Amino acid sequence: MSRLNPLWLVYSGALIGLSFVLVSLAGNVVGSFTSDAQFNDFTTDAYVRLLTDPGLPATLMRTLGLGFGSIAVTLTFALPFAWLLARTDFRWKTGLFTLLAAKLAIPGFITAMAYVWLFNPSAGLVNAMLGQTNYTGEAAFDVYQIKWLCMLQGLVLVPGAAFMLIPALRNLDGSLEEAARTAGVPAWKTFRHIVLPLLAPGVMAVAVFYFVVAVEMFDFVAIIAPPGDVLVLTIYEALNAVDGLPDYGLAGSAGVLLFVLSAGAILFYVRFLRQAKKYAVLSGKRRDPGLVRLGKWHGAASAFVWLWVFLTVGLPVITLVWVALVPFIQPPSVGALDNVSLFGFLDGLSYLREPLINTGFVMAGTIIMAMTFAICLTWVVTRSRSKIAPWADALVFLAPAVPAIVTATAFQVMGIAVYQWLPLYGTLWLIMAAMGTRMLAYCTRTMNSAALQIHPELEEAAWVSGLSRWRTFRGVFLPLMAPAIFYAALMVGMLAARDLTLPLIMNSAGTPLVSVLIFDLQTNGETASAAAVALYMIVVLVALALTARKLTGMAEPGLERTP
Amino acid sequence: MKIIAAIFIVCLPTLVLAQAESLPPAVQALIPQAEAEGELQVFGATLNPRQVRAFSQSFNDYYDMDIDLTMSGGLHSAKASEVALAHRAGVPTGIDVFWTGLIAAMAKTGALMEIDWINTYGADPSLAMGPWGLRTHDGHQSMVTVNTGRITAAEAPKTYFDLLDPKWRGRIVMPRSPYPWMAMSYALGEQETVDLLQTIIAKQEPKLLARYADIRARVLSGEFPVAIGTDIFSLQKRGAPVVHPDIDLLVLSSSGAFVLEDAAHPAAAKLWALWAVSPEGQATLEEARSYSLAETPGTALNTYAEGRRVVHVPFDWRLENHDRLSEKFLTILESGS
Repeated sequence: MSRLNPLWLVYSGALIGLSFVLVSLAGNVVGSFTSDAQFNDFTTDAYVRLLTDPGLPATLMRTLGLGFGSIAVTLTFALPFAWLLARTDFRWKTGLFTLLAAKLAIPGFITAMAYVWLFNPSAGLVNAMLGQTNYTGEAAFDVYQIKWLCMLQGLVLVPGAAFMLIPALRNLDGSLEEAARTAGVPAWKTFRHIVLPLLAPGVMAVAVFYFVVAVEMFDFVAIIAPPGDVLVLTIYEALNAVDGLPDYGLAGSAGVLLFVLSAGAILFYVRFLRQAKKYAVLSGKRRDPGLVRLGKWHGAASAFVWLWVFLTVGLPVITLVWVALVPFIQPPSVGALDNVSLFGFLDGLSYLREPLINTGFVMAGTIIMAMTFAICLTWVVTRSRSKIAPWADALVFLAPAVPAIVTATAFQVMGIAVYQWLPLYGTLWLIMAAMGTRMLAYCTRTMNSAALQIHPELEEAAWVSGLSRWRTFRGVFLPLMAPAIFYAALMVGMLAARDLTLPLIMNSAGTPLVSVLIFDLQTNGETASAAAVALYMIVVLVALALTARKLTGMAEPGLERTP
Repeated sequence: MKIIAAIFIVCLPTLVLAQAESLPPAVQALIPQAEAEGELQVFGATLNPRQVRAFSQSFNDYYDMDIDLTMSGGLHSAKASEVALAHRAGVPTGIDVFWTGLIAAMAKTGALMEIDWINTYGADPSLAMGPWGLRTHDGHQSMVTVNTGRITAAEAPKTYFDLLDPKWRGRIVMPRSPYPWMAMSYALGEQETVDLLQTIIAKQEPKLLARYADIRARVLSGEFPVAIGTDIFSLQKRGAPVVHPDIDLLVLSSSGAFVLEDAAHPAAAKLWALWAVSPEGQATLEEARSYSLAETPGTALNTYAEGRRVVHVPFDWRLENHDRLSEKFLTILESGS
């Protein structure tokens, strides 16, 4: 009997990952046709309701505006940050990495709340200082506008986007830039005409992925609440029935509309994958690009970084500290200083132990699951010659467009359906599978971009030298992918620790998580303890990120993981 | 003082024993069964771990038992739907008591245990919620809240129709949810409530937010002096500058304890529901979340209800009219977003 080719493990991993994605997508599609939240009766009623809503065209335009506006802001910061971290002698790399990681750990609602306090028209601190407060929108600043929503969402998406771009930048072949330098081409022109085009798949992946994420984000929409609806509000209201059943039909059909909005961009991305070899820059003849010296531009780069830090990390952390010090939410004032105490910090600490252990377990499990499936899928998509591979990748891409509550429900339904064979329903394992699935698109975006830059000739050379495809996968492909795997794992870990919707719907009561603890405390009106727990969480996550970066050798700016 | 404390400690077991003996025989019979079950899972209100310990302590002390009580919260409508699905598939839900006001999906699929709380366990007939549940507290999400730092008691609205005064233009924050208006339509009349909401939306430019916690935060911070649809009794205890003004009408929608048909710990579940409506249980609910029945003496809600016209929205009426009214009021709310 012939031995089974171990590469089948990779195909199997990809297949399981894809199956989980299909659970989520099918849950959305099937849900869009259900009329009773029990999957008994199926109709097209929800589509009729959605598509005949006279407000739909305006809602779609606002949703598109929100998506494009957010990614424009995100890329404005993420691309330079990734370049600073991966390709320059920027002095504050560890600081920037730490702050990017810290931002991932800050709950979105806190950022939104900080901006509401500062820039709301009726009592915002900045408007008050300018003597320009007004209840009917005539203030100097009015945060309740779609442009503010784009800016805030765009700013908070920067860390994930930067982490997605870093591996692609690290894998660039330095010989191309060196040739340009030798020919006397200025650095800016080299960046524009050589680096940026070679990064096209990576930038495209980030743009498409974060477009999908931006139109599905709810925290900022909920708090800023600009005039007019966006699709995610329709979904939220459909799923949060006040006295009856969740309207999975309407939420699902709105989710399908999100698919449609995302589909154009995804199709464009699939075309990129078909021309993959054009972007392969990491070959056997590759040269280490070395670090770009910033010289006199270092000050400008630092100012740019600090602007983002102040807007996105500074203000929310100051807000969190303030909220943790006062017994109920109130804007900072001299009078409020009388109420300051450390009770929130002490109270929060007393609750932390068990949720922290459970959260660590969920983080580890989600990272392992997401990474395993993502590595397998990336290999299949970028290395196998299957014609369906790009379409499988497009399916993975759609997963973030499924509203988190619908994903949770789809996995619960799957858990119930397979319970007699696999009793995962009500356990943390099912939560990890759902989380891993939602984050799979992020991982495959990061890894595909890096994998596309690795020229197949490296692996072909290994086969010619007598290595099996399995050993080539282990000995060549995986080591080359290490930076991408690290940053994807980091992002997955951070998001898994912070994710609330999935644990809230799927969690069994015996295994509380930190995110659910924060939600419980906040819902209870115990905002000081909730803010303190959030701050503890930020500290723990940043420490974990820095440790992981050190242990994996990703702390150094060079390209030691590439040949 | 020490002597009094010593006497109290010595007498406590006797008092507990005496209390247990004063319970109806059917309830007493549940105690050994519950002890054999050993644990209990309640899904409902979000509580912090200290509050869960307080619930556990009071519940166990009340029956002189030692049962491991776990309580969790979350999105009720999604959870109820999931429980119904699991029940239909014969998969254990892992929940014993669903503590909520939203039971439509579970009732339809037979996921709730029918219990004769009145005849079997001696509960007050006014506490029955259909053939399944026991009313544990009255919700008051239609209430108005004002920030005392921004407006005086004299300026505050005295009726819901005072909210139409032009002085509140741009100063009201309220949920995008139709819930407060559905309850109010039972008390004020459907057309009157539709007119009221339409006028508020058209003329007062209220800020509409999706989540109740955000509404609380905005009125607390003083950004908006008036909020509709949130209760602040527990925040008042902490000295927050917010009150429910002296409005003539109090509209209440009830929540209760529902034992699931597949409860792994049915005896403990029944005991929990009966404890929740006892004076000890009500004191614990009040302390934790300012939850209580309007008729429980001394609670924040009871004190506020005194001298006002109190309207309880009937449970069956809510189930019957939900879909129609929800759509009606949501359409009006969306016109203002």
